[in-house]
Amino acid sequence: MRSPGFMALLFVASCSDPVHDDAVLALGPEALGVPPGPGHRPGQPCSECHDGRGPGNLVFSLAGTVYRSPGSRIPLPGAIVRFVDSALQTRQAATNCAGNFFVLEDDFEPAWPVWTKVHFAGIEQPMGSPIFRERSCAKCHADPAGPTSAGPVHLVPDDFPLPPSTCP
Amino acid sequence: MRSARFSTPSRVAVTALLIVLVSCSGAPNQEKTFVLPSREQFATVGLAIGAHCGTLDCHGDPARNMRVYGINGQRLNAFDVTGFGGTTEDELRATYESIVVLQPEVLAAAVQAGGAGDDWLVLGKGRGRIQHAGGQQLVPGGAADRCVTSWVAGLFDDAFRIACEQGAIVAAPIEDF
Repeated sequence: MRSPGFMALLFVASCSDPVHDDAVLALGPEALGVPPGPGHRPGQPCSECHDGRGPGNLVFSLAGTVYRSPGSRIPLPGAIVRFVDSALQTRQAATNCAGNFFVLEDDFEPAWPVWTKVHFAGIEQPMGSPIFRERSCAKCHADPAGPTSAGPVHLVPDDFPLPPSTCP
Repeated sequence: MRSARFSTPSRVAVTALLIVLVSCSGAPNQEKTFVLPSREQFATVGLAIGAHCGTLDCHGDPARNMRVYGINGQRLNAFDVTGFGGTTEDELRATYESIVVLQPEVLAAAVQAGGAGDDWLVLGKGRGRIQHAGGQQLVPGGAADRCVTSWVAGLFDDAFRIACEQGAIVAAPIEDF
């Protein structure tokens, strides 16, 4: 007869997903001085932790980080990220001081594909292709740009003047 | 003597192994040839498939079995960047090879029959009629679907060209959002 402790361990182990666990672990620890919350981990694939399997509490439908320009790595707060899906559902989210934005799954279950644009200071920047299934921008927009990444999401070229950030 | 003691069993083992090997081998495979859809006419088909299937979150991801190369997904050249520059000839060739080697017998039969059906995985999955994580990306009768089926059928007329041109665009249902 197995002990209840062993059975509990077996149950927990059978429910874990080693691929997910490894992906979360690969993101590394929180940045120094930035607590978990809306401003943490800019540029990382949000849905790795916020897909319902944890460790993030909230479940995101779509989430990411917007930068001012491709080479700046300066976040773009106050931008509006807009979405429309194939069922004509529209949603929008504002970026915070880290450049992060998210749409909760409770608010939006997209009918894929989803098209998106970033709006800021009268500028509209549409994404070149639709999103077919990925909920994290950073999965396809990892840094740096290369043969398997379009590079970080950004609004304008590096030399384009934008109003200064209102964030501290 | 140690070696003498094991010589007979070793000989038996080697003989048995040979028998097993010989019994498992047959006549060398005869070379098979398949008549596959046109490589020359694939360029516009590849662009349509790239638009519908080849983004980084789908078959433009190097982890997928059926890899699609091009501007929307993985680039063949290490110096190219996703989202920039056009899909290259080499990428179209690589995508063509990805697609035709999936089920060469089924595809060749479709070419011979003058058209493909859902038993060809590209159509069956693309149309969402076979379990497909990406769902339905080719609407039967839609531009991209007509582009692919005409290519397999060898119908390279104006309708084919128009279907492929339209199929290469996956436009938002509304512009103003």
